[in-house]
Amino acid sequence: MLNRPNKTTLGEIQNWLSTVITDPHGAGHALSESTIKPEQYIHSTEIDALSRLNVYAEAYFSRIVECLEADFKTTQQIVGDDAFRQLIADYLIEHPSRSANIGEVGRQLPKFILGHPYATEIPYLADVIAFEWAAVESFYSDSAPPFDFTILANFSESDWAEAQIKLQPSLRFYYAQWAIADMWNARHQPNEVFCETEAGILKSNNSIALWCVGGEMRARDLSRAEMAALNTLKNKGSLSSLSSLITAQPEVGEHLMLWFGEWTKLNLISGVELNRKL
Amino acid sequence: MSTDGAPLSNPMVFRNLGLGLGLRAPHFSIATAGKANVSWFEVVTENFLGIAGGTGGPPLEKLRKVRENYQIVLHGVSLNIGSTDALNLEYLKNLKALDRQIEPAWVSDHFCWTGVNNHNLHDLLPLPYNRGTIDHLCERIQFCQDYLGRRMVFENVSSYLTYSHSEMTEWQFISEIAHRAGCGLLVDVNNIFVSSHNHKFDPLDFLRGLPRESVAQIHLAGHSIEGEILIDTHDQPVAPEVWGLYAHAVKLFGPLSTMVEWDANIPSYQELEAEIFKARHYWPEIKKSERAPTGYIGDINA
Repeated sequence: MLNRPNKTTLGEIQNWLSTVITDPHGAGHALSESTIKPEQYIHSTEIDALSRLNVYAEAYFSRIVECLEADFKTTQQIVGDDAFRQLIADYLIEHPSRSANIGEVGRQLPKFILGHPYATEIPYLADVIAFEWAAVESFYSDSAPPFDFTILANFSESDWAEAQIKLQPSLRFYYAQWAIADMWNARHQPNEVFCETEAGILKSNNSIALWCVGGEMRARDLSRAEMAALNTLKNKGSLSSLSSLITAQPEVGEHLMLWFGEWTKLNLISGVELNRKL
Repeated sequence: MSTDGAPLSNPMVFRNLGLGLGLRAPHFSIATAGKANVSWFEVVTENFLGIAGGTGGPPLEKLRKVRENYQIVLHGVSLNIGSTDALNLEYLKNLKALDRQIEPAWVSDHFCWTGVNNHNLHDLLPLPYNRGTIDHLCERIQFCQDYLGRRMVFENVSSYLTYSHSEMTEWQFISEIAHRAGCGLLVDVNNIFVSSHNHKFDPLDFLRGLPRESVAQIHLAGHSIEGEILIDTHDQPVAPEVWGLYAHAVKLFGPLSTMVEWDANIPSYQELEAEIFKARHYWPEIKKSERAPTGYIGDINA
């Protein structure tokens, strides 16, 4: 975009250094493979060139692993620290960071894991990784403050039919082949508690609601009926829009008040609005 | 624009914000509650830009809350000003939007490159100090300043290698860029100390070689020793030698906006404040004040 005097020299230095410090086998390996001797580019008086380059090489990998550990905490718990680092090393070969924001670096991990041996060894791992990235996306979306439910005391019975239910904007639905929500909820628990939860994991197609309240992520397993009710509310908003669903699935009607109480308690509902002023 | 001291049309004067801290996640609740005793916070810009297709999320909501009570400086790590890649206009667009929302005292980044060939290395990599690099940076800094509509501030990075392509010292390099591009300088005293150890130069020469009229802010931080190399780890208190260097910086530049960065092994908020308030010892004219003054313009033009 801009004119760049001395571009060749600066570009050559940057290409070389980038190659050396991101080599998956280490800076020493990169130097042994390169036709460029380090002293052609860098001063190495008193402290040798490899020691200097290693500072950057180690920081490159550590910084990205640290970020991905935060975003994929459950994954790390499942595979263990060493295997997690290996997974990330493998991942970065195919998907080096392309974004200015290090928070983006895990975006391709759900796709990458599908072709990785770990996904065969641990059949629920791909579900977990995709779910953890969905949690990152939910976190970085609009959120609403907790709703003041005392306002509902002024609602008449007829108000409820036309009331517009506002769900948390961060709400995402995730479809998993494994019941992973309990394991995800246990990710910050001591290892023995986590392992116990992991050992109890079942294969069962299920839906999970994922949302953010006050900067904290929450997840809840949903039955098909509850999922359908929430999805209808998310798309249409009014309680009256549930009537055809209740006709088709009577259990929705049976459980709706119970669910509503739980959605309220969990801050899944961010507001209830009427066309008239209260 | 509603900045404290750095619209492009003004002379190079950056308001003295007093003593501040790098605000990190564990201490956001203190800042949002308005219970901090410092007068300003520096935050890492990228933590509030969100991800593609999203928003800044809860971190940005909290930052807006902090801004109600404190001055903010946006400190970026990904402008990639020294790269031979084209400037990242998407990043600049997001930075500008954040700038308009938060109205920081100023916006800073680093004299470095962070990636090339669309591969981001997420590190502050050093540049060769020569004429060609100066031309390259000046042009790009001026573009960014025009785009943002404000004077920017750039920091000297700590480094673990220097290039055989360098033709001048680091302080000559950044001084000329400050002069030509009209940007401010964020002087990281710890980085000077770390680099002086790693490359065997006198850190006082670095400080004395800077144009005082360009200096906007000072960083302090802790470092670690790994073998023969000092590493800028931001994981412990400011070293006595760095405080000594800071004393020289205050004599040279006046008591400018000063803050401590602490990014790993983060202590309690009270310990962090105790660390930055040590700087009062070197600010004789305000040492008894409960809170460092805001609105005081340092004698940078004297």
